[in-house]
Amino acid sequence: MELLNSTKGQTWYVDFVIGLTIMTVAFIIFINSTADIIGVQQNEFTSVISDAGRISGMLLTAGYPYDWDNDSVDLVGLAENNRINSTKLFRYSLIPYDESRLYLGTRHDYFVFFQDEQGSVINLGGFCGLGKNQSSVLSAQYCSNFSLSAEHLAKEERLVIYNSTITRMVTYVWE
Amino acid sequence: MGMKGYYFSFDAFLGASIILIGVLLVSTIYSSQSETSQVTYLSRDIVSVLSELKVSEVNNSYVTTLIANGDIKNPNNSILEQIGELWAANKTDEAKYLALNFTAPYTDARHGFGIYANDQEIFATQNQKTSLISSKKIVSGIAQGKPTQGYVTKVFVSSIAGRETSKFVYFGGFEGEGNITKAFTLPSSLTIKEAYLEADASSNFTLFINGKSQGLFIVNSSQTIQPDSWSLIPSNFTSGQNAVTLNFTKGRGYIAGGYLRITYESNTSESSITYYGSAAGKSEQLPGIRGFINVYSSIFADGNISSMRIYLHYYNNKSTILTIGNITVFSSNSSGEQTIELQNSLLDSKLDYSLMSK
Repeated sequence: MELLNSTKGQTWYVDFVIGLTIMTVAFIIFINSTADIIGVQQNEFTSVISDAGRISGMLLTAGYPYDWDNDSVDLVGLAENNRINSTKLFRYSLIPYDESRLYLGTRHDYFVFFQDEQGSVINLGGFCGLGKNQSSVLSAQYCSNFSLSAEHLAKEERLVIYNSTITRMVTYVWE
Repeated sequence: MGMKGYYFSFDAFLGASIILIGVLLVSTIYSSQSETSQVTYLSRDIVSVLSELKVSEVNNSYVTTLIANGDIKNPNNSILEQIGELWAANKTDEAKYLALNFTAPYTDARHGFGIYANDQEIFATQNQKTSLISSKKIVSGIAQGKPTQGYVTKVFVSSIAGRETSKFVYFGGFEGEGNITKAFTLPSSLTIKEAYLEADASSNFTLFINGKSQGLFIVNSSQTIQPDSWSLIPSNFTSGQNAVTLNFTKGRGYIAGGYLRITYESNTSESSITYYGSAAGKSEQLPGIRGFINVYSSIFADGNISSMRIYLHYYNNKSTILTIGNITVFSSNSSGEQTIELQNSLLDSKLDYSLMSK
């Protein structure tokens, strides 16, 4: 009879069920809330990443029309077979920033620059890069002390030929 | 009751583990896509820039050394073609270091990199592969151990002996009225096989070939627009300038269409077309007519006419009129012997060349 009246086993079972239920509920709530947060962030950040890839890809086309200038440009493109056309690069530098975002099809801010094999930012004939707050040359040859910082910053690197040299074209896009 | 605490601690541990695993899984899935994308671009770009960049345009000490050593013979090669050529010549070390020279600065420790030809490694870093992206480019004309350069034998035909062709001399739509002389040229070194005349002549005529009489030619057909035909003696024609004269026996004769065909074998070609770069020039000779000058004929240009010039030499006591396409380009009442040159500026102002072209 003593054995039948013992509730130790039942208590443990109830504890286990309650504990499992609490943890399951907590896990579901956690996953839901985390997924929402990540989802929002991911959507935003995915868009930024996507734009970085798209902008760098578009800049490696010839653009449209093929021999576009600042009056006729529909799509900005700077290269053919990954070889940067200096004339188009110069024309691109003359396009006002907000207008250039339209031609590149992005609502995000962006900045494009070129690095040599040592990683130094190359002077593009008066500019360190093109895009938001287009930077002017900080030293005679290279754009030293050059940095960017922003939240949701996406970076895309492409290899191009600039002035007969293999060069990194770096595109930053941010929210 | 003391055991309950153990169970809750275990539950918390279990729950925390699940959460941790979940977070790790989410973060792994979240970040892996971007990394793969960057590697893809890197792979494609390396192939693209190596196949675009020419040996002749790079400023690289290793390339200079290879040129000086005679390992690079064609500076118009792209870097990728040159790597392939060195590999084909079994200079695998040179191929490897050339590839390294142009890729090492752009591939960091996170990324491995390799170049393969026909699945054979030219060079590759030893990084552990977590994801592998390949880009390919066809480099033609090389195979390992086989020559990349050789000789192509071109054969030019310098002699066309045995080539049989025919020279045609046409008697316009109407040529007369009087004795008619047609001048034409045959190539040098020829063997004439056949001479044939077909004409709708107004009456019988005596035919002269290069001044030599061929006798009287009888016109059998009594119907108009019904030509007669005759075989001529081939040996009377010669290489170079020739002349055929028809002296009509009855009044001012004429020919209302016909042709003279001379079939010959020659080792040189004869063409009435002279080439000036991308343009070509062609001369049409008007017949010599002793009598009342009346020629109604045609010209043909197998292309776009850009300029024309006309030279007339005649003796006439009547008015002389030259019309082309119903437009009078020359009219003169001068009598006696005349030598007239109508320049392109005049003809171009009167004629629409586009209507006469092709």
